[in-house]
Amino acid sequence: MKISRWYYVSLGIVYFFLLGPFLIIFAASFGAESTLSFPPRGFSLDWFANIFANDNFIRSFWTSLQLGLLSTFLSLLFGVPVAYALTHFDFKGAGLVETLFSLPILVPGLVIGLAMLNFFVLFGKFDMMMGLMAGHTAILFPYSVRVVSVALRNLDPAVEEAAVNLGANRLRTFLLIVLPNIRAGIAAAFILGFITSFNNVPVSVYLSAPGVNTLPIAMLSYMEYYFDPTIAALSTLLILFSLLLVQAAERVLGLSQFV
Amino acid sequence: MRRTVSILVLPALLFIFIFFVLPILFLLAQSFLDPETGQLTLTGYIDFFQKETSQIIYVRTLRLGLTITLINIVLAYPASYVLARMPARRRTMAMSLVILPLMTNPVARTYAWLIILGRTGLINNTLLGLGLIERPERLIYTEGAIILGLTQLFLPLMILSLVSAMENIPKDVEQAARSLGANGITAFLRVIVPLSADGLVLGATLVFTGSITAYVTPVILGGNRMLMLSTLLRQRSMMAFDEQGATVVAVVMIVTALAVNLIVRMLRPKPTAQR
Amino acid sequence: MLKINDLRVEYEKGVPTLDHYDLTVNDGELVSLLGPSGCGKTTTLRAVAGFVDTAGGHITISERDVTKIPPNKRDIGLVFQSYALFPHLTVFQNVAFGLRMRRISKKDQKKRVDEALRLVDLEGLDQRRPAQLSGGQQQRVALARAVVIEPQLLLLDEPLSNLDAKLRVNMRTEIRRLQQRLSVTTLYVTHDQIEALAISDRVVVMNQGRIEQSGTPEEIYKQPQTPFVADFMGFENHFAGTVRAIAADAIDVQAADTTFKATQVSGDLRAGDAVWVYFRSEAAQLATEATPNSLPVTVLLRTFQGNTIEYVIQSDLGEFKVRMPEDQVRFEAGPAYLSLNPDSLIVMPK
Repeated sequence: MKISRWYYVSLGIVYFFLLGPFLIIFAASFGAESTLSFPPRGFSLDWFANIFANDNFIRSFWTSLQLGLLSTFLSLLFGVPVAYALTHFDFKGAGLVETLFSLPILVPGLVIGLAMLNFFVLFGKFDMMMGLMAGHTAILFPYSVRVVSVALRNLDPAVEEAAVNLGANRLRTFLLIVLPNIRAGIAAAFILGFITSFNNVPVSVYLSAPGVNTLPIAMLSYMEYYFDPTIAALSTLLILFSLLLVQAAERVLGLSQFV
Repeated sequence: MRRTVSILVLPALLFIFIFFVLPILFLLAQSFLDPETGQLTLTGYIDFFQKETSQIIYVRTLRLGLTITLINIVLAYPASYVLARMPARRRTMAMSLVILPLMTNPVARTYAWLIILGRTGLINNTLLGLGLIERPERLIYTEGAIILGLTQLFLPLMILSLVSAMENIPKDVEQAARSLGANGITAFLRVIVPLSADGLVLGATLVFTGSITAYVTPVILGGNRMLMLSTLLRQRSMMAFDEQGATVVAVVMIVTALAVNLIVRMLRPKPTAQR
Repeated sequence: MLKINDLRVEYEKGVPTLDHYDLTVNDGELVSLLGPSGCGKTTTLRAVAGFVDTAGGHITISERDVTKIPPNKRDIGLVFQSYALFPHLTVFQNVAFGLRMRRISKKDQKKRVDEALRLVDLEGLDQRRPAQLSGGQQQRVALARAVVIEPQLLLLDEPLSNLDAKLRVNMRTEIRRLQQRLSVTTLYVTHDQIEALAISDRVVVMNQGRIEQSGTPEEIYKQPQTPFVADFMGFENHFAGTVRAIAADAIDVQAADTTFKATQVSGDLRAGDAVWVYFRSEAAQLATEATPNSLPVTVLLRTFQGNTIEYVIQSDLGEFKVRMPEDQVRFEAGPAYLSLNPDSLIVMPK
């Protein structure tokens, strides 16, 4: 059936609204003036150079990268067994467990950050990086448990039974049969988790200290003092990074079905 | 079986209990304790609901949440319909662009609005150039700025919910309506909208609770002049060193977000027989 | 040999799906469990394979009690309805999986897999993935995978239900040939009576968790012993009657005003017992005149069905269907006689 062209117009408006701002950032990051203005005047790559000259950006980038990889890994390490239990056993309290692992998405991130800071302070000195890691792992649980559960449910249970029937115990069945068949789900969970951690502000904002902060937090504090296009340049790089990641993930895994 | 389940679930349960449940419970307790005497008290809450400033902020937060949700619904509905009716491969491409804002660094995403709305930004420069205004208008630190920023942020969530609901509507249902004499708009309102109600409710809940708890957008586009609950919370804990005041705001935020989820779950229309 | 003694299975506590269930499959025999969905046939097979917990009773395979043995140590070959091939492994790796779990040397694995693939006519496809095979080929891989471990017992769970009609008949013959060649004890689950009759040494008809009847395909087809089996095996017609007299070779049953002689009797009957009388539509004849064992009827409808003509008729005993060869005299709507051969009437207690 033909779809009226007004629907397409509205889709156009949506895309303009979602993506237009990104184009403006791209343009602004090449401006020559030292205060941000639009349309930009002149052309310069200074602001890109500025990013790499700033120790705080570089250091916090590595922190974010490390934090994202490690906390995603941890959330999967703890979360995959939970997803396995939820999809393979009919046990008492399964509903409760499912709710509990979806809570970190319902509780506002800022509240989680504040609660963790207040709680850790109770025990005196604590390692800020450890705190960040714990916080990020907790907020990633809902993604890893849910995405991996979806992948596990999509696998024909008879395939696992066939392996057991042929002599494999539960662990070998999981490692040799289940795991290779949920690779795509695990990869999707990993990408989703990494992006979520890498972009997180509300939890990190409370769990950072001088010398230990994540890239978005470093950007926020830079913005408090400077109004030059450095942030625009950095944003351009980050948006391109997300674009690549999302395109790759969507093409290989169909990421949007898991979000 | 019980042993296997325990081995699988317990480590994660322990983790989430120590690093999530306990801190939240501790925060809840803090909000009821007098910071000096350690006595049980309700002053924090009484203060919050009696003081005009916090009242204004609370109401503003809810109002903005509602406004953003409505704008999202209006923008997303027709667009989602086009997306849902696209052939699978083109839809995959189109959807990956839709979810881009969700996947982007929030500071980068919000920064764009500063360039558009700033004193020397796109809008002010355009209006000055056209001679429509004489001096730059203040466009950031306004409710409008927050609405723009959050709408861009949450539109993808709304579209995702709606598209996944609309995918399940068989094409022939709509064709049947058209063959019975309904025009395009009537068919859309009487067939597509009711059949995608589940997705609408889910999307609206996500957008509303997301909007009233978001942090980065209000902090950059609202600042200290246009506070929302989240920025008030941050201000109390970091600038005013009002530990208890901050925990009270935090609890109000959690309770509001959970209450909305609970109410929606109770009022939710029974899943339609189809499917 | 498979022996099931007094088996009880409960999915929900206190509500048995199977209870006091006994079944024996002799060495080299192919027994099929036949029944509608929900009759407990798949549950029986899954209990034997070890995938459902038993609440009582014993399962013995070749003198070894496996009731408490986990499913991965039972040494049973199993072919699933969905084939359940490992999607990420090649045909070779699929078939070799059971050997790998048994720590058979690489060299012997290769030898045995090649042999199994030859047995199911899949030589040369060993490097393909399941997704690159047709349904029939996938079915063969599943078979090869199940028999390559030389199991004590082979279980097949509706193995042909995902194939199209023509392929189903071919695969049926092949499965039977393979089973006889390996002379492996086999339990075969199906809901298709023709399939069960064609492939089995013995057919066990199940209903609501109980065995209704067990016998050779011919016995099941010709001499059903319960109304359920008669219905399931396609006896379209039945009526109620009362036993009048019992002789050595026949029984007299009275229904309405007619007394019928019947020779096929199931169970112990005495004069005065209420009984059902079953007959197939093709075993009855229409006649223009009354004969012994006949009944006045009215022909309501005649339909052409190729080789046969089907009549719907009305009598004092109810509505019946009669099917007669196409080349015989045709009857028009109106009065006629239904003539029933004593050998085609099956009498069973009501």
